[in-house]
Amino acid sequence: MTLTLQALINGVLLSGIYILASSGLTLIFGVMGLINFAQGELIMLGAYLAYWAFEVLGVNAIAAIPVGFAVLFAAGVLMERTIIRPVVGASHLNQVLLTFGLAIVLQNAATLLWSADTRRVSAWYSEDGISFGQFSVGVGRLIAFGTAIAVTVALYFWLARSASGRRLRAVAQDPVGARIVGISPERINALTFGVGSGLAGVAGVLVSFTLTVYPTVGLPLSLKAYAIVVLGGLGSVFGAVAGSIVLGVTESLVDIWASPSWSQGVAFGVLILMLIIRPTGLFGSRRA
Amino acid sequence: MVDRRRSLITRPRELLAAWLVITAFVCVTGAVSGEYYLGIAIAGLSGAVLALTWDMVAYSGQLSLAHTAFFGLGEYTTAILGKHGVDPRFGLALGGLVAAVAAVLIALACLRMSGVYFAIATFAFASTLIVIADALPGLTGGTLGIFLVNRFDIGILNGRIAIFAALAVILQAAFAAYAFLHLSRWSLALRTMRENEGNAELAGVNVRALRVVVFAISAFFVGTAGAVQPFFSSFIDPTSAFSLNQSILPIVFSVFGGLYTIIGPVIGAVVLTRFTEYVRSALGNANALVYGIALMFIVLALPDGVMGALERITYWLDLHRRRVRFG
Repeated sequence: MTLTLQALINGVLLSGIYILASSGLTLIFGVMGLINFAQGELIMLGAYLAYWAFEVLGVNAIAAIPVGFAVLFAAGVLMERTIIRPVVGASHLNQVLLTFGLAIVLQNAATLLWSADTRRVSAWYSEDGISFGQFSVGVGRLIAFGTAIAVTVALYFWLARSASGRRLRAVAQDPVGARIVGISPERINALTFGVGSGLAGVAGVLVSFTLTVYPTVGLPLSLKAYAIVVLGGLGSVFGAVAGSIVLGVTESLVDIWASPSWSQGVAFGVLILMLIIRPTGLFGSRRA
Repeated sequence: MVDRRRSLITRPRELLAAWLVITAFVCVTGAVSGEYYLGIAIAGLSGAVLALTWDMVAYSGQLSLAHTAFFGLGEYTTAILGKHGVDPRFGLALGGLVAAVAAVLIALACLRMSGVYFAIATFAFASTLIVIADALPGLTGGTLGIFLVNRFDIGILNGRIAIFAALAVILQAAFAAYAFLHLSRWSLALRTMRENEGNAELAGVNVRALRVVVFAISAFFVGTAGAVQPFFSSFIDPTSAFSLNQSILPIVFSVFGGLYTIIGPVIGAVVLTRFTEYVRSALGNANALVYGIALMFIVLALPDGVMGALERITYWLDLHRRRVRFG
């Protein structure tokens, strides 16, 4: 029983990184109708950013969270302006190929620049744990989960209350209608891709002190993120949060009940089952 | 949008002529090349089978990311037979069937899906197979993989020449199947399905059945080509058998050569395999970087492929000539 409860706690904490990995993906899809196959590589860039800031400048990796958001936001806007814009509204095929090409470029550039070595931020917050009675949790994971929740709440209020958030939702609903009332879908797309990349950047910073950093670290995370967004409904941020927690908890339960090698398959099992039963996801709309 | 460009190579005679040229080119280069270049030619041929059959599924309006799964299932069929002391050449007959059965199951599960959802589901299927192959070491050797020691001989042909010949035959068969779909009345049904599913249904096309059948035919050829692969590589493990790259490569080949053109994907496979090999020997580790840049370049600069670019050039030349005549 204790073991199961501990697994539940671990699962919920594990979902922190999943939430950030998938909410960027789902935001970009919801507004631009584009599946970004390079989302995992943006996470990887965020992770390296935090790692080098820690190693070279001695910056606390937790302090690097806003920096990770800002740098990846700028990179995201730049990418949208240069290479993503031509395929917005193009066939899914061209979108898949372009973002996949981007993923390959980023992965291999990282390997050439920083080698394929596995690196890790080793500070007290990545090693220590806190005990509550019989249960213990890693400080790093606790920080990661807290950050994910804080960022998601901020994202929610930004989308719901701010003027730019309202414009973004307008474009998500109907780009043509938005243009008629004077909103530029192009600028909103750039903003969306920026924020989506920024979320990946924050996820990357969290990866740097809870997991390890290597050039293909984003791949398994992005595979799970696809499962999560399909589970929660493509384009729904709330669905991404719910999907992340479901996946995190299921994974850690399978981990203790079956074996770690099967837990890596949970995401895909859930995904296939979900696609068969309800392809638009738990909270999905009928878009796409 | 009214497209006034004439499609190149649409009539049966043109198709046959173009095909004979390609086949002759492939066979001659295969016959005169040494061991090393034969290896590249073999990679080009299995790439061509993947691309041709992927294009066949795309022709029916579905974006498959599961082709690596079918290829890998074929590979594992041969390797597992070899491991248990059965003549692994039976894999050629069985690999295609295993892949086709898997394709029918996926297609039935995904009947209601289209577009992005179908792509993600097929992608998930291929990724699940890696996990399953990892988790069943008794059958697949797990992450340690399987070594295949058997040589591949058919009659007087042996080793790489035999592998080359087998793949060439598989490619011809896949071509025949695709050409049949293209030139028979089924092409109308398939193209209507791709453009508008509802219209196809209204016209009496059994969209679901046709999707399943096309997917299964496609998977059969990929599985058979996959079954030849272990003789060439003599080793397989889950990550190489079901690598995501094998799902993306055929798409790149098809888009580069020209979608839905039969000839295009094959040209794409033959040209790009040599190109990547050349880049690999020239740049070493940076080759994947070049490949990624090339992929983005193709999408941004040649959105309808080499065949599309050729069509645009012939159309332009045509216009130009007329303007001169009338002007």
